[in-house]
Amino acid sequence: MAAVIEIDNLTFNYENGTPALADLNLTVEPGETVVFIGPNGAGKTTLFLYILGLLRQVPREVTVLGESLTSAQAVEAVRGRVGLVFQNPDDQLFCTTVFDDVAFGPINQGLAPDEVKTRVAQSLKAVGLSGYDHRVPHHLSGGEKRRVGLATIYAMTPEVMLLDEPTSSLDPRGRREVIRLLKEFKGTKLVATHDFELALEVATRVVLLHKGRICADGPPLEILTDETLLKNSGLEIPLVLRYFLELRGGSGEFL
Amino acid sequence: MHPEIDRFAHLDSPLHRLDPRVKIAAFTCFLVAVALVRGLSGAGLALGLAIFWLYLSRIPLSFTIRRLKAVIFFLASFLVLLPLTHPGGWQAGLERGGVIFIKGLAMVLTIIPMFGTTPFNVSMKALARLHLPVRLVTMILFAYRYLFVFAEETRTMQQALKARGFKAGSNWRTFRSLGNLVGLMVVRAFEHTERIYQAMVARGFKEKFGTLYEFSWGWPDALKGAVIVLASAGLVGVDHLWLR
Repeated sequence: MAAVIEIDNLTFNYENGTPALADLNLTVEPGETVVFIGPNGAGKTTLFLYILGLLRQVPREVTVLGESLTSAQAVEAVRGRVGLVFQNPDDQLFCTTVFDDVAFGPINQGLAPDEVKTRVAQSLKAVGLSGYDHRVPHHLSGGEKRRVGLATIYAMTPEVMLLDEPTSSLDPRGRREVIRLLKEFKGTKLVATHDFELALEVATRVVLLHKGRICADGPPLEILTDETLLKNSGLEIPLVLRYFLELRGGSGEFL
Repeated sequence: MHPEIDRFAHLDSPLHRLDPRVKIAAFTCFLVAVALVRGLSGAGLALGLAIFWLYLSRIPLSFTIRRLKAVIFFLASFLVLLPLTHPGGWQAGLERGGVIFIKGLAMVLTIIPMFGTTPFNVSMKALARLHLPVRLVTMILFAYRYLFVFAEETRTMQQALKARGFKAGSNWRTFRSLGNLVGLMVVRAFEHTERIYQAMVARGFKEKFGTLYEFSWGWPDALKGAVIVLASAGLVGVDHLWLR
């Protein structure tokens, strides 16, 4: 089966010359959940924006779902098949009602009004927010905003989801709910996060980014417990994970 | 205090049931009519009509009074300044100030039921259907949506200032600190704008805001709209012909 995302030797600098991504090669297979970890400024968000052509109109180094993104039309076509959930839900939810926000993508996809309404109802049900149609985004809690953000992408029935820090600023219950929803989504997922527990729960593969370069790419446990590797990339093993590793003699067998 | 103009949009009244497009068009006629009123008696009549619209809307008086405080403070400045500066003397100035004060009050009292009896997003969609430029409507919608986000950010930054012992005063340090705060807000707003635009493009936005809202109007809407338009015409006629 063809790769879902292929990136071939990508180097990207911001307009002021700051290097953001360098010599990046990556292949994501169908059904994978690839979690990107790395310190702030490692290039995780930039990579997601780049894949969807939001930083440069034509991201020529990227192939998504078999389509080489060599023209603006190809990029536009692929945006309906790849959903991006932003880190800050207030960036994601820009309409004045939940219904309008969730319907925004399907309307842009040119769906018939009845189909749009069905998609909105199904998506809100999927995130456990049926009946929230007429609520205004600024009245929602952080967890609810995050779930509506997911619904805005579900409604477009994407084949691939890119999620930028989906559990940041959430309380334990909100975080647990988002992890459950991520597990329920059967498509391919790329997740950028600092949350190692989330990575351990959902990842089939972890990619470590540092200064725009891929430093490591492999099984979650192997990377998330490699203290030297993490330290060299400006990260560290969370205390709870460290305790468990010590209790198990560093084997990680508990997992 | 709840900052939303459409807080009582869920109530049931003759104005709530009026088609939003007809409501906006008819009340716009009334606002123009109020602007054309020249005399004190005509302004009083306009204020009476505005109070009647408000009564019809069933929007609580307490909500309206809270909204009016700042407006009254602003309009009262005309009552103070015009008697001192009017070339026709203090009496003419006071009358002119009174007309401006009452007309301003009547306009604000009309705007409350005009936009307060329909959910704000629906009012904006009605404006778009009335052929107001789509970009302008989109800008108003964004301004409304993000007003609350920036209010929250401003509050957080003010708390951060206070937490470090900042006390506002009439001095250079205060002006500099507040200037920094405003500058930072502008930078943050710009960054927000970029990300919002990216979020829109990522979901297929192509310069046009689609909507599924279906407006419908019938004879009751036409009748109510006609009553408001006739009242507007009557107000101008009475003011120009009899009340001067």
